[in-house]
Amino acid sequence: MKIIAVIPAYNESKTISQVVREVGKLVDKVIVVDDGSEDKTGRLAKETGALVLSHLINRGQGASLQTGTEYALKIGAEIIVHFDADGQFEPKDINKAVEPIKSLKVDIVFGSRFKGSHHDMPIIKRWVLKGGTIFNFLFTGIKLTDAHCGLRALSQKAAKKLILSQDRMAHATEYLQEVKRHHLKFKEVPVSVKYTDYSKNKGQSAWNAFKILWELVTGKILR
Amino acid sequence: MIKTNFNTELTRNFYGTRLGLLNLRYKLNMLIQIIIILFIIFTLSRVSLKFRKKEASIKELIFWFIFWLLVGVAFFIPDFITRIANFLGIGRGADLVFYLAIVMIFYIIFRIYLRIEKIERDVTKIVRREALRESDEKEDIKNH
Repeated sequence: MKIIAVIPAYNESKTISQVVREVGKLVDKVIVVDDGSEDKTGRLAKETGALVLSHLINRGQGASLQTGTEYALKIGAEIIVHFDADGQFEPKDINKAVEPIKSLKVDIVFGSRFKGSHHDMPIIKRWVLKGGTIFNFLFTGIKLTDAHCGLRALSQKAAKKLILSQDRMAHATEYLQEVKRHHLKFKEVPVSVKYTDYSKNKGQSAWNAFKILWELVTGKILR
Repeated sequence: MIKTNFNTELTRNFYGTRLGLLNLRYKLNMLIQIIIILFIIFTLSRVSLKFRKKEASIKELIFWFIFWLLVGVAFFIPDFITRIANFLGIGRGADLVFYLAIVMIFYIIFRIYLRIEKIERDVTKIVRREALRESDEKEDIKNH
């Protein structure tokens, strides 16, 4: 099966080459969506062998994932893997995420940092994410153990149906809404995550949870 | 005796001044009412001109006529608004206007927020199309 990884990247020149190289060994093709980076993220990704799509201006992670996913479908992806560019995921977890789609006919697989190892996850982040799972449950009726994991795998069918309109960080919850709406089969797999100082800095602050909430509420009205 | 005289004098002076003030206030009030009338006439004529030029819809025309009519009523018959306010359990007409204004401002802000959000999404669509188009061209060069 043709597996394509989509990696949204915004100013990730420190980690992008290594991530592309390691992910590239496990999938058929790596698509990096350079989300208007001001550094050399796009060039480095290209040099490492990724196919680079560039957003002229920064549009957010949700927008980048959607761009990459659309392109992956166009070039015939059968499984699409979303992966973070900051290097906090273990590339070999991709196999774990892809496996259920290959064998069990699951439509979408979410990574869960809480099922896997998350020893050095900051305590506030842990609480916010737990709160997020409760919120997601109330908002979508789907209960997961992690609220906002960047590693997921989609079948071709799921990728065609799930269309993100949330450009920024609310896309994780939006995926759940869409899964619910289209009655797709999903599964959670444990993924491990390492929190380096770099990824902590690049990651989201706890306050963003409130921003996501607001975006979801207004997004409902805009739909 | 002298004391009382002095008091009456003072009282008369006091009332005299107050009457003068009232008079001045009355004149100012008149002036403001005239200005308001002129302003309303001016605005409404602009709106109907726009309507005749087909730059404004009939809905807009009616909305602005009612709006400025109400403003006129509020200025010329303040009691009217006070009575509505009292009916709603609000003490003063001015308070009612104030509350309504705040509600309207919030509504307008929310509308603007939604509009911006919509524009943001449209921008994303353009940026995405550009990103996909660019990569298509590259693919073409590779293939030919």
